[in-house]
Amino acid sequence: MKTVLTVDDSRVVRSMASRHLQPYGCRVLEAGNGREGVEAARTHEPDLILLDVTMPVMDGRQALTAIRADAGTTDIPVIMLAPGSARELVDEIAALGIAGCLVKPFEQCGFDREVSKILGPPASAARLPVDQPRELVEQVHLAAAAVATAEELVSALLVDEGRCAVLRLPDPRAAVFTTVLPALQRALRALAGAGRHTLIVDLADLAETKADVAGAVVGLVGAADRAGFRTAVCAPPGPLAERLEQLAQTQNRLYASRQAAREALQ
Amino acid sequence: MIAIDSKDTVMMHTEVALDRDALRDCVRSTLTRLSRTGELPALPATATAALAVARDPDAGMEELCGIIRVDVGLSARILRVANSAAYARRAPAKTLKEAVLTVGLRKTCDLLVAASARKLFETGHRAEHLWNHALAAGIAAEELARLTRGVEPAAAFLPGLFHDVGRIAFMLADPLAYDVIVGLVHEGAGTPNDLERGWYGFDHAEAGAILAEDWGLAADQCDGIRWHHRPEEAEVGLRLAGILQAADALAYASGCGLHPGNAPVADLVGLGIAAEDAEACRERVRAAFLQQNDLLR
Repeated sequence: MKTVLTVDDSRVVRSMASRHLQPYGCRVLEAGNGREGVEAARTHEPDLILLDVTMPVMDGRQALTAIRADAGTTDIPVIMLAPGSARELVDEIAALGIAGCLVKPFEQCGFDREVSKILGPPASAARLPVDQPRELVEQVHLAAAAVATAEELVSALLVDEGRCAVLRLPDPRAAVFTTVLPALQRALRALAGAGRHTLIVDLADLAETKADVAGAVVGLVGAADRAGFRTAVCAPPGPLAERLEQLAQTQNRLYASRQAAREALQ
Repeated sequence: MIAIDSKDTVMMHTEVALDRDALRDCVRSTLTRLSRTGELPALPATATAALAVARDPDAGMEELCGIIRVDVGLSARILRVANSAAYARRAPAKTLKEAVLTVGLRKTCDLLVAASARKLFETGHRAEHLWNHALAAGIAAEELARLTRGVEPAAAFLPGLFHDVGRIAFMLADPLAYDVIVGLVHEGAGTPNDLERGWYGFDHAEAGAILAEDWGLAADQCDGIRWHHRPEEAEVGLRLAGILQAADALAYASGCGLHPGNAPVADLVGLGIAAEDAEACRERVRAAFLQQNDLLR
């Protein structure tokens, strides 16, 4: 198992890095400043270090200098984490030898682009599409917070039907949505790479048709948009469909049946 | 981590400093980059038009009625407001003009902005709490401005309504980080503002002020939003920032909104409101919230 060390004084940055690293199946270590980071790098000799530029106690430049000066850590790839305002500093630091740079706040797509150069593609990237074991679909209801199963859930729910992909969503509540979104984005990119560019979000099996889940559905359509998909949503008539119609982002994309959605995407 | 060094300069560790313009660019570019639409959150057209009327000293009844008429739902709401117990008309208003005359031009603009801006608050699983908090803070700001006489009450409602709109922008653009931040606040890892600055480089107050600028709110209103957690840093919106800070706390104290950590406590006495009036103030805010929220549905 590969090890990644995240060095940043922000708990949010460390938490977000850990979330984004989940599909890589690696061990994640954290340090809150440059000095702790250098010590952790010497002790654990990680496969990759994500290193913040601006930190108290010892900043990223000093930490990188120390890492490069130590024979035990000198070859460890380092990706700098930089605030948008510190690009010039990164240019300076690059002379010390870095593998890449991520501008904070980073999203999964940009994160994967840099990190996969070192760690390889995420373990789940080549696993689509798969069968739909019913018990996994049921787990969406039961295990909204079970991030570890997000890849499996997405694999179970997203089906490549050849000319288009179909995402069957029994529960698009925001808690579920945010849990599976990174996995879903990766899955969509994998499908796009396989030449699929149309997606039907099928809400026919929706467990709950209240209008308040509309926001999560819109977010989902946005994720598909970003992955380069033309998307149609089919939802049964009711409060949710009415709410979706009101939301500009889904105008002209809402259909009463999967067949109608499919025809619209032809 | 960012430390505010002065009103105009944001200092970051290792000598990275941003002046106000650079920070504004940073906020806009960050939110745009994260947004799935590639755009900053925008006010609905009706709200923008109502704000333009509110700003234009030459605009009057006809312009405002023209905006309202194109939306049957809004027309009905304004009539409901005018005919509500709060305005105690002897005979119900039957025309839009009568309704606007009853409610008042400025207040009608406020209600139009609130009613149409509500759409902004309808995305995400915390939408209801955020909307309740926004409306209650708007009402509380107006009430506190009236009591303290430091700010024109009519100019306090919209900054109150939009004081946390930066949070909406974060939630829309970056829902995963929003949840992570809320989780960390619950764990006691820091205040929402500190955690936001650690991730975005700026907090929701800064983001909200910049959105408010884009939407055409006045300079003192934007400044009030920017500094509603640290009113002592404000410049043109110094008094308003203090009112917004108290309105924010008062809204939570009135049960409107769900603060991720320990909700702030309203220092009404510090604003010059007698302790015996503070509880009555809270009650009025709560009652007005229940009434207006119902009317704006």
